[in-house]
Order: sequence, then C-alpha cells, then structure tokens
Amino acid sequence: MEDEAIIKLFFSRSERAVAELAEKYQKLCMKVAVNILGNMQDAEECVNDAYLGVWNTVPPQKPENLTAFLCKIVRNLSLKRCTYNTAEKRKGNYGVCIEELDECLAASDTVESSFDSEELSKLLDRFLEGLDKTNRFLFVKRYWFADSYEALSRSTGMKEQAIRTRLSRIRAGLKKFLAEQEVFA
Amino acid sequence: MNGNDIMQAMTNISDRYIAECAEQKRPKRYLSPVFYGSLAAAAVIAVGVMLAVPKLADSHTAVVQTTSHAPVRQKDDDSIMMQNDIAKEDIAAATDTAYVPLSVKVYTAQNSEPVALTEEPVTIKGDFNPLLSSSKGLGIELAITSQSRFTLKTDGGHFLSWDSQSGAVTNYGQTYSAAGTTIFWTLSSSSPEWDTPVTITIFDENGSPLSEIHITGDESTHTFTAVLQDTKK
Repeated sequence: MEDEAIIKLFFSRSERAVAELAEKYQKLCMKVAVNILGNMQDAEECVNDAYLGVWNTVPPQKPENLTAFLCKIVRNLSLKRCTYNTAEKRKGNYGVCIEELDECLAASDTVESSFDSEELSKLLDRFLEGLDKTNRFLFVKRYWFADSYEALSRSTGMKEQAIRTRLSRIRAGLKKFLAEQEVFA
Repeated sequence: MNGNDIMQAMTNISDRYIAECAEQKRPKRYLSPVFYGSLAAAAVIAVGVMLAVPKLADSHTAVVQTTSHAPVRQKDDDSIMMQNDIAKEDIAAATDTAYVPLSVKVYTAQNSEPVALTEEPVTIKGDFNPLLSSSKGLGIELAITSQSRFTLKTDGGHFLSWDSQSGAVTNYGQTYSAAGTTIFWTLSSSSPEWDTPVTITIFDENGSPLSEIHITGDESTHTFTAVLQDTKK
C-alpha cells in the first residue's frame, strides 16, 4: 500500500492503519531497532511503541515522508531503551558507533557541552550534503541505521576494510568540518 | 559533548537522507579501479581490432552476415548503407511488421528495470521524482538498429549523466548528441511542473526525426507514463 493511502487510514482512524504500516515497514523498523539494541525482544517492543506513536501523532501531524518519520520514532525509542538498558554497559553496533564518533571531537573537557542538538543536526545536514552519494550512504547507514560493517559490505559489494577506511576518512572530514563551524569551544 | 551527542543529533538529519538509504534496496555494486582499468583496456583493444581488421583484408570488400540471408559481399563505399538496408529488410521479414528504426527503454536511475516503450502508454513506478535531488533522472536507453549516432532534443528539462560512484552530474542542456546509448533526463529546477507533458524527440544522424517520447509524471503516486511515437508514420 502506498504511504499516502496509509496516512489516509490514520486520518480516518481506521484500525487497518497500523496493520498496513506494520506490513510495509516491520522489517525496516526491526532492522533499525535491532542494530541499536542488539536484542530482538526489546526491538519488537520499541517498534510496536513506534506504531503506537504514529497512531497518536497522525493526525494532527501529516508526515511528508512516512519512511523517515517512522524510522525516526523507532530510532528515538531505541536510543532511549538502549540508555535505560545498558547504563554503563554498551551493547550492539550502537555503542561501537558512539566510540567511533568520539574521534570526531576533541577531548571532552575542551568541547562545549551545551551546543544545541538541533543546531548540530543542521550542521550534520550540511556536512552530508557535501558528501558524494556513496560516502553519504555509508555514513548514514553506519551512524543513523547503525548497520554493521558486514551488513554494509553485503549491501554495497565493497570490502569491509575499504568501508572502514572510507568511514575513517569521512569521520576525519567531519571533525575538520565541526572545528571549522566552531562547534568546539 | 561526545559521540553519543552526535548520534543523538543524527536522529534529526534531513528526511531525504534517511529515505535515500531506507529505500535503496539494491545499491549499485562498487567496482574497483582495477575493474574499470580492465574495462578500458578491453575497449581500447576492441577499437584497435576494429580499426586494424579492414586494413588487413585482401580485398576492398566487406562481409555482412544477416540473420536470414547468406553473407552478401559488397563494396566498401556503400557498405554501411547496404548493411542498414539489409538489416531493415531482415528485421521486417523476421517480424513481419513495419520496420522500426529503434527501440527505446526507460527506467528510473535508482531502482526500476528498463521497460520497453511502445505506442501504448506505459506507466512505470519508481523512485524517480524530479523534485528530489536524490533522483538523478529518468534513464533513457536506446537500442538503435540503423544509426551509429543520434540526437535527442527535449522541450522541457535537460539531459544529464552522472557517476554513481562520485555522484558527479554533467548537465548537457536540452540537446544531447552522441554515439552512446544511455542518457538521463530530468526536469530543471526552474520548471518543476512534473505533470506537464514533455516531448523528447530522437533524430537520426541526418537530422531527420525518428521518434518522440512523451512523458507525463504524477508526483503523488511517484509514477510516470511514457509513450513512444514513431514520427515517420
């Protein structure tokens, strides 16, 4: 079913809306959640909560891009659950992703901690805009979807080492970009 | 601030980057520079052989192998014309229909298989949306049976090529003339009315129109309808 039709079902408060949403996006949502949480049961709960979140927000909201809208909710819920579950102990790809992105920042005591998250998202948008399509695909797949290197290799046909090298260069580029934008204090 | 803050901020990046990755079911396979080097070398050898063989021949004749006729010997001077004429006859004889000078297939650059156009409208669903920068264009694949070169002219949008690896886009404007057989077309940002029909005319090497492709899009359903019209009929 087309996204537009699914949104119409939500607007008409049809019970079919969630079923159609799940049928179309269950696999993608589970992938996002499992990549972050590394746990099927928690992932299923987050995905179901995300469907409920869509039910509660549409209407009044009318998402322009249902895929991105839903995935963002799944990601947010998964990140919250991950923080709750693990506290100090990191699981799954998500923890490794964070460690990799730590490289993009200077030592924590020299970094302005109150930098606005929304502003940082806009800067990331600008940084992504400047990447070529392959590099952007790799970066977003790794740090938004938290895909493993193995999964990236399968989906692109590139060797894992080549992907690691590319992402390392992209992170170096991000570090330089953030420094130029004076994100660091 | 730490890596976790960046991961959190990543959540709110532009929807189009998320959709670009979420909807990309089968990304183009990455091929190493060695592959492209080998390909280029093979192409150079092939061109060399094509240039060298006529010079090595004993007589100034060419042999044309057709599908339904025995090989026919003919003079070099008019060999191209003769080959084309024979090919036309063979195609007409084999299909028992009027000679069609070319076949045209269209596809979206991202995820649809090439679809052969006919004079019946063909509706194709794909991620191609000229209003999105992630949609590079509508692919037009020409299989020309008699022409070594062709020219495409459009009354809306422009032709472009793009490198899937680097993402580099080359804009050719409203006229594209080349011996290649694949080119992309998209609407210009200054004329984003996707539901306005666009006509792309295909000319042969003498400048005579061969066919027209009429394209109409429907942004709401992410589909476009294309029709091939033989201008010689």
